[in-house]
Amino acid sequence: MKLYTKKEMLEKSEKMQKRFLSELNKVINNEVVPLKFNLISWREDNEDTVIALNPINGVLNIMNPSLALIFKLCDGKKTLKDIEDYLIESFPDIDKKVIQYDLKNAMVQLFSNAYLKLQKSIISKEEVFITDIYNELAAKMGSANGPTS
Amino acid sequence: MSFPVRLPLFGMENYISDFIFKRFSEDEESINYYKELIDKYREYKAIPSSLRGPIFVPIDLTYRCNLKCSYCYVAAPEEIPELTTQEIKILINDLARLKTFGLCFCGGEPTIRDDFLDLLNYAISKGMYVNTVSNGTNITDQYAEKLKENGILSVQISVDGSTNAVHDQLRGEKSFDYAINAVKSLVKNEIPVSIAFASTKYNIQDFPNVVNMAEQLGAKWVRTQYLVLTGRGNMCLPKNEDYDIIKQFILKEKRNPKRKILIEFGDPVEHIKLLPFFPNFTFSITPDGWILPSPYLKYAFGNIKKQPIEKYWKKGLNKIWQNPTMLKASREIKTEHDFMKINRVSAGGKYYYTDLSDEVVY
Repeated sequence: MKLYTKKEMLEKSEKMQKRFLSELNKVINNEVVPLKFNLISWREDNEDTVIALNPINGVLNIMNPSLALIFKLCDGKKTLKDIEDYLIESFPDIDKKVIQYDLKNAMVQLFSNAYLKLQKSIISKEEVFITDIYNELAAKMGSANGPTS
Repeated sequence: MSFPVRLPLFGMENYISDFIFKRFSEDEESINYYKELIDKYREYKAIPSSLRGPIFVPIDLTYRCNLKCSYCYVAAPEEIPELTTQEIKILINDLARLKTFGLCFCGGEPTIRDDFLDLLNYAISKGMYVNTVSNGTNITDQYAEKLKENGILSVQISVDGSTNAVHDQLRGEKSFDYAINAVKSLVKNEIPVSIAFASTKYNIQDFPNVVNMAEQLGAKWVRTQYLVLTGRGNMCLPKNEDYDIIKQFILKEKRNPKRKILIEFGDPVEHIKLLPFFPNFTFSITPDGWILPSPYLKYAFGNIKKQPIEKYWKKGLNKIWQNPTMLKASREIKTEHDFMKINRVSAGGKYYYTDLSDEVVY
């Protein structure tokens, strides 16, 4: 029975992130609109944080103020570009590339925890859920448990 | 703008499941690693000093039970004066005002209360989700339909064997048939079901069969953990080697691509070691209103019959794991065997609570 070291676990996790990001990018480039998954329980909490719970898988997250802001901006109307423009305007002292990088990471985190779903466009109601991508990845990797197992 | 940070609280299982043989609670290296991680989160402002309210609250509606399992950690059935329907509704109101996400109706056997469905409906109407745990004896097709109608999120059924013989010797005659029929009724009504398996020396070898059976029945999860030595569990302890065998099985099955059911092995000590790192986000309520930071420790922080939960929350329940008594318990407890050393028992053999709120100057 192979037991992973912490280093191996981190590497494994990074590989998942990269693979996942590339899948997410395909969706992002298709001009999708991120919006909150309606089954999620969330609330604004002390010190500008947001707490969100996915009651289906029991995963609880506290979002720091910057991630919380991005999450709150995902209203189903703004595209990722709209959110990026808003952040660039709101944080003029921060390098645009840093904001773009942070935003991409935020999308990965929010989407991979199923806090967000993606809509193919504002007009089209065709939705993409994390489970669709899990299933696709699981099929490629030969695992029924998906990337978080 | 700092890097967006995610804080996995309940997601720990994803991180430590591969260290299953090395108990987190006994492993200083892992605890130190966790401390470093938490410091990083604090640096990124991902952990506020306190929360505006709890996130999830288990409520023991009763310690009455129609079974008498020898290892029950609350030693049910026990008759104690219970909160009335009105008192529980006031509690639910208060928790809703604190923006609590969800409740678990626990016991004893919670469905034994006549007002169970009324309370379920009330909590859902206040915007909270509700799970429940049950031995399944009252969950018929009709009852499962009512649970569905009233909006239950999921139900955990106790199944301690894959056959009548194994299950019934621990939980009582015909209890296996009731439990399995309950699972079937819930699945039929599209209510997510999890199976709780109490590992004892009498049934632990049967765990893999229970997993297979649960999967065939359509359950979503199976969970077991180290048997907790409160209540009457002392005579049933499995050997460490037995735990190792099922942990091997779980590790193997987690990597089995054909497995659909999720299998978890829990450590009842983990929350006691981890919660001091965080602002408090949970507590449980006993049938007579005591507020417990941990269901396994006989420390309380007041009683909702005396004051509303909101007052206790603001007066120290929100930082209860920074209380010196709780910190001491967190330091001293390494395994579930240590609960017995800390919990106080009266001359009559009954547990009683040390009320930590008495230490607080209001």
